[in-house]
Amino acid sequence: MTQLLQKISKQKSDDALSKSGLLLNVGPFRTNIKIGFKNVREEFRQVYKNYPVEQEPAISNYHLNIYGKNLFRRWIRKQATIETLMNDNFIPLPAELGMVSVEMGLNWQIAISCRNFVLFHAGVVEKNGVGIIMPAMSGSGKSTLSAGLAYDGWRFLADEFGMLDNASGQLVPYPRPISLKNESIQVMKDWIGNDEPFSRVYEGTPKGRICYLSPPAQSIEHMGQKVQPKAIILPVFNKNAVPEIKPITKTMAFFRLVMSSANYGEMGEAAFKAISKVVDECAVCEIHYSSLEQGIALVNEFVADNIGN
Amino acid sequence: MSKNHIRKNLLIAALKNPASMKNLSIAEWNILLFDAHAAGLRGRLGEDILANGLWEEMPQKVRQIFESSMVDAKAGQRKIMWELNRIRRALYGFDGKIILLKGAAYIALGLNVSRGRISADIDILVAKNRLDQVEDLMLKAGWQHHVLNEYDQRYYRLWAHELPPLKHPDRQLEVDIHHNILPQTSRLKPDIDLMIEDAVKIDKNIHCLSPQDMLLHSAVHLFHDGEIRGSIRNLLEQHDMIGEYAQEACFWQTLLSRAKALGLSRPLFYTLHYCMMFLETEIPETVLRDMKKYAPNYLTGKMMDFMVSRILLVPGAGQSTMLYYLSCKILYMRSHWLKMPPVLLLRHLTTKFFRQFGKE
Repeated sequence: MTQLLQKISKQKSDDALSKSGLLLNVGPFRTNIKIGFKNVREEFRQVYKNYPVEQEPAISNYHLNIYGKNLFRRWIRKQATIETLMNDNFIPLPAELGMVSVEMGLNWQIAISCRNFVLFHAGVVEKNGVGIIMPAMSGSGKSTLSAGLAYDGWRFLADEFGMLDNASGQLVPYPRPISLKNESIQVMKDWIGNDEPFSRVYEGTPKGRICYLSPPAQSIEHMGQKVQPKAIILPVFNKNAVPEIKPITKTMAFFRLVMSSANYGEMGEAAFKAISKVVDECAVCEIHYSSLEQGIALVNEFVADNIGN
Repeated sequence: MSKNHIRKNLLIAALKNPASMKNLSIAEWNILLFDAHAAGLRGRLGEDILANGLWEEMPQKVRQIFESSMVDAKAGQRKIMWELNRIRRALYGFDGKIILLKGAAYIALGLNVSRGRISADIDILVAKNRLDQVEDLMLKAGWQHHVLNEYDQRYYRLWAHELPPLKHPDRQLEVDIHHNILPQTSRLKPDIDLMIEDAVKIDKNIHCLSPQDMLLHSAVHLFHDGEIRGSIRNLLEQHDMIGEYAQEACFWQTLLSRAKALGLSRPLFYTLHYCMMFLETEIPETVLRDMKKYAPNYLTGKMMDFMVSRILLVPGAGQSTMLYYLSCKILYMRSHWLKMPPVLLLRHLTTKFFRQFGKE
C-alpha cells in the first residue's frame, strides 16, 4: 500500500527518513532513502510531497544514504556524504546542499546500474497518447523545455532519464523533480508563476545555481502509464535563434538517441533493436528557438502537422 | 556459533539451493539482495533462478532487480571478450603462450562459474622472459600505464607478479599482465614454468591453465594474495570448479599431486576446508583425509576458522562488530606477511604511511 508523502504525518516520515529508510516510488523503481540531516529531510519532504511512498516494508531497487561521516561532519562543519552502494566517489557537499546530494545519488544509481530499460538523456512528455523524446546535451535547455511543456498541457515523463522499454517499445515514465539551472530558474518562474512548487535555490553547487521544480501532481499520479513514442525532437536553444523546425534524417535521430544513452553499450543488441524501431516509427526534427514560449509553440506545431490521430 | 551463522546466512542458502529463494519474506529479500549486491553475486543468483526454472515464482520486484544485474554481467563479459580480441590483435605474431587467468578464462571457456559473473578487469599471464616484448607491443597498440607514481611502478616491476596495470584510453578496462601467480617476494614459490608448460590451448596462442592449476590459482589468490574479506565469490568459484571438474576421472589424484609438486598444498587445504564449511561442496572422504596433513597447526587453524567465518561474508548494513573489524585487520596483515619478507614489508608500509602526508 502506498500513500502520498504529504499525507503521512511529519513525525512518521521524519522517523522513516532518519532510521529504517523511507521507501520512495518513482516510476518503476523504489529507493530506500535515509537522510541524516534535519534540514535536508524537510526539503526532501517538500520536493517529493506528491510522490507515493510505501506504508509497509517492501523490496527496494536501490538504497541511498545521505549522512555526516562523523560527529564533526554531522554537527559542526556539516557535510553530506552520499552512499549509493555503487562505486560512487562523490565529493561530499556542505549539508546546506544536502538536497542536491540526494538528487545526485538518485541520478547516479539509475545511470550506473539501471539495465531494465534503455536510458536516454532526454526530456520526455506526452499528450493524447503522443509521446515525444527530446534528447539533448546538458545545458541545452531540455529541462526547461520539458518543464514548460509539463505546465502547458503535456504530461511530464522525464527530463533527465528517458526510459524505453525494449520489450514493448513504449516509454516508461520516470518523473523526478525537474532540475532547473541558472537562468532557467527565473524563466520558469516567469512562465508558471512563483507559487508553483519550486524548491529553494541552491547556490554554489558543482553545476551552479540549482532549483528543483516538482512535476505537476497529475504527471506523478499517472507515472505507471507507459506511452507510445511518436516523435523525436532535438531541441536547440540559442538566444539569437530564428525560430525554425528543421528536418533531419532518421539516421541522425538514431545517432542522437544512441549518443544520449547512458547504457546503450550495456544493453547491447536489445538497445540497438529498440532504438531502430522507435526511430522507424517516429516523426523526427530539430527545433531552433530563442525563448521557452517559442520552443513550446514549435513542439506543438510539429506534432499538429506531422502526427495525425 | 560461527557455523550456525553460516548455515543461517540467506546468501549461502540461496547459492547452495536456489529453491530456498521461493518463500522468502520481504525482510529476508532485502537482506539477501543487499548481501548479494555487496558480494557481487546478484547476476549469479539471477542465473541460478533462471536455470532452476524458478523465475516465474519470484516476486516481480525481485525479477526486475535480477534482470538488471544479469544484463550488466553479460555486458561486462562482452567487454572482457572484446578486450581480449583487441589484445590478440595487439599481440599478433607473438609466438609465446598467452594464458588467460581467472574471469577471462572462465568466460572464454564458458565454465559454470562464469554464469552471471561480473569481471572488472582482464588478467593474462606470459613467461617472464617475454614480458618486455608483450609490454612493448601493448604500449605500441595504444594501451597506457595508469599507475604513474615512481615508487608504485618500481614496486610492481621489482616485487610484484605483474606489470603495472595497463588501460586502453578508448575502453578503460584494466589489463593486468602477469608473469607469475604470486608476488616474487611471496613465501610460497610455485614453479610457474610447470604451469605454463601444462597450459591448455583455447585458440591459437590463447591458452588457459589446466583445470587443476586453475583451481590452485584461485585458491592461492583467495588465501595467499588477495583480500579474504567479502570474498565469498572467490570461494564459490572454487566450489563451482570442483563441481564441474571432479566429474573427470583422476581429477582428485592429479589435483593433490599437482598441489604437492607446486608447493601449494596449504592453500588447497584451505579451499577444501572452507568449501566444505560454507558451501558443503562434495569432496571425497579420502581426499579430505589425505589433505589433513597440510592443515596449519591447531591454534592457527582455529584462529583462521574464527576469522574467515566472520569476514568471508559481508555483514549486513550496520551489523559489523569489533570482532569483524579486528578479523579484517588481522587477515589483511596476514596477507601482507605472506607476500613480503619482514624488512621489505616494513619499508613498503613506511613508504605508504608517509605518502599520505606528502604530495605524491
